[in-house]
Amino acid sequence: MSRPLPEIDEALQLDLVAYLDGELEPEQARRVEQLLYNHPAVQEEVRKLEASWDLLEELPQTQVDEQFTQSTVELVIADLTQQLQSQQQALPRQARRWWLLLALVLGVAAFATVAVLDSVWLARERHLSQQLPLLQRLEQYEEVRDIQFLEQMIQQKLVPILPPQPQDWQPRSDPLSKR
Amino acid sequence: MASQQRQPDRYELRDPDVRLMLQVRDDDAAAFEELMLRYQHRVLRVLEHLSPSRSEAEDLTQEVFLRVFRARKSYTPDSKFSTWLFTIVHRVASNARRNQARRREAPLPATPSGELAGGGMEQLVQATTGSMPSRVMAKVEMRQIVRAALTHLNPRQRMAVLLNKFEGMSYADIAETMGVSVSAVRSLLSRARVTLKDVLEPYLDQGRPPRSHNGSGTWASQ
Repeated sequence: MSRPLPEIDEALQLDLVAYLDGELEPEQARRVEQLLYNHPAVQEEVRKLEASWDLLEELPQTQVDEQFTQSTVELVIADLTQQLQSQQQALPRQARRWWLLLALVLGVAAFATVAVLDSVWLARERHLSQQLPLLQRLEQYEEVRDIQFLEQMIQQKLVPILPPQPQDWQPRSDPLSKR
Repeated sequence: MASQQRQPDRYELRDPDVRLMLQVRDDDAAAFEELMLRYQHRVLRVLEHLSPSRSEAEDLTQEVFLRVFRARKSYTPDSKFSTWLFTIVHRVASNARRNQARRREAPLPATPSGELAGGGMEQLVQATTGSMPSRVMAKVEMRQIVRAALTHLNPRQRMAVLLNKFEGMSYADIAETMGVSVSAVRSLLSRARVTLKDVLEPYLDQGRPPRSHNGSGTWASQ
């Protein structure tokens, strides 16, 4: 009893082509072989597919001469040379960028150093200016030679208290001049 | 994870062209020339069937090798060398096709001599074989017919056919080269082979040249 002929549709053609290319799983390949065995129409379809595929072998072999190889090599060398030149041209630009960056870093460092030194010097100057009234009368205070008397003067705020308070910026009036 | 790490070593050990390309990566000019000698005719053969003329195919072949050289430093042996190379070929051919579409030039199928076949299959065959001995004439005629049959395929189908037929690539390798799935390759090849069968059937059965194809669909993407 002959089996019904399957329609040679796209799905079957997919399987037939994959079968010819050896790309089917063993189970699928067995199914295709069964179809080929049972249906001459499927055999004919495969024969035509194979025959047209084999005709592609008639296409001429492409020949490439030595000159073509040489010109390709020259093209690659020219490209490489151009690449190197553009890299070399980029070098001064890069160097300039590095110098600018270095100058910027040095500038920032110099500014920071000056700022720190300045603040240290200012603090010292400020301290000296605060001590100035005392220093101006130091000889006179030394002449007193009585610590109790000095302490009394401090308590009465006739002599500046040490250390000076930050808000005491202005030179004080001479306490001894009031005496 | 371990198998992924071993993969490059596998190709390096199995594929001598991968080893050559690794030498190219280390700036070995002789290795590059050797690779060119091994592959230039194969690349040109594929591009010849994807380009409007032989001269354009030659230009594209040179561009392929230029790209190979430029890409040498980033080369990693993750696949067979031929798969990697033909990925570049596919990309170059696709770009050329896009550029040509942008320029809106009339696309015509190429002949071996680099001339363009626009006058129909019969005229073309007659013009080429008119003054030749019959045996040679039959051979030339057959080549012309097969070449013209290829123009009935769209570029993606043609690429899949060329890689499968001339490079002997598996569906998986073609899929990797063209950046599509294996089932897409299966579909491309099936449709291509059915088209070739339909176009070449009159010639195979009765020796008649197939119907002419003006090439208008040859550059269309599928």
